Amino acid sequence: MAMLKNKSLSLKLATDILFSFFLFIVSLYFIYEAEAFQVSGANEKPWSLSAAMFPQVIFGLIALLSAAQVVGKCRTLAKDELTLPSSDFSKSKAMKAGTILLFLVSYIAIYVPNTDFLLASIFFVSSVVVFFYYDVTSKFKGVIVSLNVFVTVCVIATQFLDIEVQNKIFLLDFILLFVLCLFLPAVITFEKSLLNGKGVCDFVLFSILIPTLITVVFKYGLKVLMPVEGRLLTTFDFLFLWLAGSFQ
Amino acid sequence: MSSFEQFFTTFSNVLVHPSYWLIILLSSLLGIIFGALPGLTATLGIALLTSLTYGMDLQVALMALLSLYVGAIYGGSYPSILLNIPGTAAAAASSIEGYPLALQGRGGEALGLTTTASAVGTLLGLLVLLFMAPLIASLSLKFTSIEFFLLAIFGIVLSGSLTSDGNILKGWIAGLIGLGLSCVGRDQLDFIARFTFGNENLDMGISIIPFLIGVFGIPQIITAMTGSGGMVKASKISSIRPKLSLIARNGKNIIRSSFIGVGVGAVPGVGEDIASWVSYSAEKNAAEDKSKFGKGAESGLIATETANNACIGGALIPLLSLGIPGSAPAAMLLGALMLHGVTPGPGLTTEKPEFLISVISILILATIAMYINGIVLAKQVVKLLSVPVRLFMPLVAVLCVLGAFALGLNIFNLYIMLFVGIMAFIMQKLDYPVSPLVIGLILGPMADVNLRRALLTSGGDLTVFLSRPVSLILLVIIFFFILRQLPFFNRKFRV
Repeated sequence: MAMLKNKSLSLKLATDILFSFFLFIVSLYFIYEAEAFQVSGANEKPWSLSAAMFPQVIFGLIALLSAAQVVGKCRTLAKDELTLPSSDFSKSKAMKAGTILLFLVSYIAIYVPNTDFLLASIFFVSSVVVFFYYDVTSKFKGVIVSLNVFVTVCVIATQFLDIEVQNKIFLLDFILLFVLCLFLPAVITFEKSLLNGKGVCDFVLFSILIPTLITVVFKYGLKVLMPVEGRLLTTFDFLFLWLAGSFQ
Repeated sequence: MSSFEQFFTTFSNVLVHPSYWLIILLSSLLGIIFGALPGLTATLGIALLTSLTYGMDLQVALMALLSLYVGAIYGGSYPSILLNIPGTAAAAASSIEGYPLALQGRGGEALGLTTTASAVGTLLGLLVLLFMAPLIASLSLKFTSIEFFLLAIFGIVLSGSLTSDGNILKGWIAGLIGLGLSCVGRDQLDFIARFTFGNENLDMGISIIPFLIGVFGIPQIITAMTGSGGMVKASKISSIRPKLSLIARNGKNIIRSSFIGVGVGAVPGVGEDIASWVSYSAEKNAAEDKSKFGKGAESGLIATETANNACIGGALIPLLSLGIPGSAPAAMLLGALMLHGVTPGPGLTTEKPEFLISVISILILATIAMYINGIVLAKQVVKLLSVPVRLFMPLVAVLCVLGAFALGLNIFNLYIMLFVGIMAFIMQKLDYPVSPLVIGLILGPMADVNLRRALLTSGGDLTVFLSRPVSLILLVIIFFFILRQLPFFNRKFRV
């Protein structure tokens, strides 16, 4: 146990050193970049009064402190004679963190700016809930990751297509809807084997109904436009107008 | 209009508008839910609500935000007492005495105590805010750009020193990164684009709201999803009974805890969590019978809950009088106020004293709403604790996206949120505190502009910082904090 703890500590220490070194390099780059903020010519000011002074002082201090961190941590690493582990007991946790990070990056940076917000949210939430909450097999986890990779590749590929933005959104909505039509029934149908009896109701409630409710409340209640309003949200608009018309 | 008139005007304004009452009650309940659900925090709650209050009238927005703030700080005690899992960092100390009480079948009594102690703590904190904020603001009117620059640096050094866990260098680095990030955008004096890399979206700098949602939202989601995530069963409670006689017997404890809460809350960047621990140990030291502690001592629970709620008033003192946030949720409130065109600082408190009165009266109403919700709806909120964190955390991601996007309807805000969130997650994993990062971003423009103004007036002469008594005192304190960390001085200090 102590050995495992040591291994974990050494990995953390190594990451710490790398991060401090990264900060040191980035600070030096920003100090160099800030050189350009000193106006030359008629409006030239001495360095102490220029727009370059404050950032250069700040990044200079960051460089200094992170260098001190690197030196201090390297000494600790050398003193304790810790070696970098080939495997670590918290590897599974790091893998989990990496996976949720990938899900988040694909949702925030790829799906939301390019596809219908509601479809993207349902796809993201259902993927994450099945992957992390239910005890599904690693094969099924692989299927979820593959579907996400497929959608991500499709979104990136459409950026190179010479078609109108609206058509791109329509095409991506269609792909996302198609993937969801395969994925959601698969989860619900094989509930017992896939969800380990934790209940399909929770899945439907948290992955489909609540994201829909949040979207409806923001869009129609709080009048917040969605990042991208594709076919599904346009259908909601029609429904909403029809309902509003029936009540008048 | 006199202070009393303003106070009663705000009160009557709320009383005659049932919709205002509804906003206060609902926001307070939302706050309790945010505080109660492990993984959600008061700061994240305020961050998400801020973007929704953008289109609202300032007073209504304040009602929603302040009610959520008060409710969330109190709500953290629910899972602490019933599950032994603190809902917020502020409620961590409450689990030491609260959970044993719940195990003894006195969960309802413990929640009743926390409800009353939290309400009393908030009110006492507000009383101090009422007297201290105008006093500090009128003093700070004599400040020049020299003092304002030093105050900003003081805030960052202090929060970096006090929030770092063992390695103070990391606290300072976090504060400096915040200051560095505040340089992004057009410089306020020369209007030169700094570190924008040709991106127009960065011309106005890094938006505070997406930044804060990223800092407090993304790491929470990742941490919660990678945690154990096991199902937990809350202890059953019969009814919430506030034992007023016990509260009355703890009068001295409550007053001491309130002062600790206000004092700790007023220190920039140091928040409710530290206040409750300090107050808990103060009560433990003062108690005649120490054997009860850890086994369900009511006085320990009262001390922690009074202190963390009294912190609200304390955190608002530097915020409203100097424009320096006292805690992470207060930093978020500063962002919200700026979004509504209000710049907190000495000018606001002295020229518009009605604003402070208005804030205090809203906070009193929020405390009443918290008390009502705490007594009436606590049993319903407890049911929510059985929802597994891994089921609702993906929904928090959806809310974070909407919250960041709703501000200006700009997709670029999402990229800021994501970038900052990943950075904050890595920093947290490596034991860098994030509070100084936030304080640095907020105080950065104040430090930059005032430093250059001071140097402009002195013609670049650095001795200008030694020319005024207040600046000299601030400089001495800053150097004391920095030098104390050097090995030589540290050893001397310990001796």
